[in-house]
Amino acid sequence: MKIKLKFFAYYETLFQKDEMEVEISEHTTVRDVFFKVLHKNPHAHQLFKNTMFAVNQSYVQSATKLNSDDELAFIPPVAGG
Amino acid sequence: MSQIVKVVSKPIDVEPYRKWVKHPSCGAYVEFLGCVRNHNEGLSVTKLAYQAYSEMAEKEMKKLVDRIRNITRCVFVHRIGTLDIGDIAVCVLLSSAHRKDAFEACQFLLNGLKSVVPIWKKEFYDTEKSKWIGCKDDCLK
Repeated sequence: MKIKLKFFAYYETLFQKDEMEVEISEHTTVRDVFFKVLHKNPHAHQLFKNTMFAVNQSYVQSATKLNSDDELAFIPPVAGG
Repeated sequence: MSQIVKVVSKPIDVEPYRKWVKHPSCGAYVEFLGCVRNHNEGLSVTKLAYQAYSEMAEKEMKKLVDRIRNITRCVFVHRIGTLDIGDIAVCVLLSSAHRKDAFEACQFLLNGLKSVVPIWKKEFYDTEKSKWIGCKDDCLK
């Protein structure tokens, strides 16, 4: 099944795009997807610790399982105001 | 409580909000304007670019507003896009019967904005460099 990834701020710069589709299997979690797309990044674990995640525009835990057509956003530290 | 909560891409005109927030039952009005300053951490800032996950940002802002109490009218607006020095990035206007509730609500909304609302800012410096605030350095600690 497919999900859509949304990238903002630091992640948009890192991936040089603001969204992408990824193919995942059943029972895949948010954490699984994060490490799948950042598997080549030497800072992946540090980044993970400082990133929040949203599925369909609501914050979720990284252990959350994904469903087909979900929209998963990587939320780096926010800086409004 | 009546409320105006939104993320906008055009300059924020505060005057209509000042009129709207007035109410005969209120004796206290608190207004906060967050503006772009020309320096940060010893560097000269020339402009800021704000980015938002807009639909979610508005949802999170509304959740924060839903948690404040004893407020009659509330304006909570954040601007995105490229802002120049002195431009208003965020405005909060609150009316309440007594000052304590309005002051506390203002602090609560601004603290919440800086912890859960998905809005980011990129600083541009006079050295031609730029960086996302709070992102890379904090992410790699």
